[in-house]
Amino acid sequence: MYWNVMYIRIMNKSTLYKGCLEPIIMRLLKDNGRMYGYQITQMVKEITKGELQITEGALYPLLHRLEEQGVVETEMENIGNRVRKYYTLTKAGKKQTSIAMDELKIFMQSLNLIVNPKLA
Amino acid sequence: MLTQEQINAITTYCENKGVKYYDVQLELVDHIADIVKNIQESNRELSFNEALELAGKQFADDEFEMIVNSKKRQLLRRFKRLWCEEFISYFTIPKVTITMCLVAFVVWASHLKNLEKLPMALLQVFSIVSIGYGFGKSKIIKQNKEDRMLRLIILDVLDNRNRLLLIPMLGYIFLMFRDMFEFSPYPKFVYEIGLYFFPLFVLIALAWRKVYVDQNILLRDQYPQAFAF
Repeated sequence: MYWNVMYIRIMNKSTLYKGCLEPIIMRLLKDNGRMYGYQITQMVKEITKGELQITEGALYPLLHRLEEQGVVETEMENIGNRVRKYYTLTKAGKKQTSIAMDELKIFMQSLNLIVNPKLA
Repeated sequence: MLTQEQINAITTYCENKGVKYYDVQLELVDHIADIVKNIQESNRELSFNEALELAGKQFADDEFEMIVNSKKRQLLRRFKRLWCEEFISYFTIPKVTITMCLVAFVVWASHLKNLEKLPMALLQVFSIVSIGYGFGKSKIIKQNKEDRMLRLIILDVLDNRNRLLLIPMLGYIFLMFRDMFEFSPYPKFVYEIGLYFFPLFVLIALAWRKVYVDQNILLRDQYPQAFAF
């Protein structure tokens, strides 16, 4: 019991958001077409008013995994004196985003029932 | 806009943090350059070096290593998937029929016609073909190795996998020695099992070879800056 309370106390927001990162990024890519890493972190920060900040250590491994799974594809572009890597959803990725968003909605409804049992 | 010297300083910073591969570096350099620009825009008094130091603090100590390792894992998964797809693509009715006929012919010839040397003779022919395909440097691979100016994680992972094929190949070289010099390091049943699994090994080696060459061709288009033309 003591350990459970301790765990809840030390559990920070990023732990709560961790599982939602994938559908969030997929949704952003669906809405904005192609995006690059830094742009994704800034847009998430802006939309959530600084509440959710994606670390680079979480973002890039996730983008690389999505690329491997064929959810996103990449293209390089020269921006001045550096190269920028853009991510775009593939056709399969777009379908998967819709499914992931539906799953996220169901998850949020279930969570709401736990947080507000009176609504049930 | 950051100058070329400043971009080079960010590249060196990434290298010092353990990101030695160009294909991982370019994304992180662009990311850090954006952070630096953002920091300098919000505080114009800060020098580039101070802004870079602040940008670096946004990364945890092990984050760079984490990104490189995750990239390696994803590449391994990708190559495994492509390899399996290539291997499975062999199993069409005509190709399987031809292979089965060949195997049946060898078994028939060695058992009923007392041509004991036939399986090993074919094994030797297959070995030469397999070594030729598996390790012979085709034009594009040779060219990539010669022209490469920057280290690429994709090439490192590909080459490491390619070296793994040496293990079964060495096993088959021993099998050939056994037959050629009447040298017997292991019991006869090992020899027979090895012999009958040889077509499978050839298929695995050829499927890998296709992935290896295709990825080398793709690399050239994907990261032209990493090669000298």
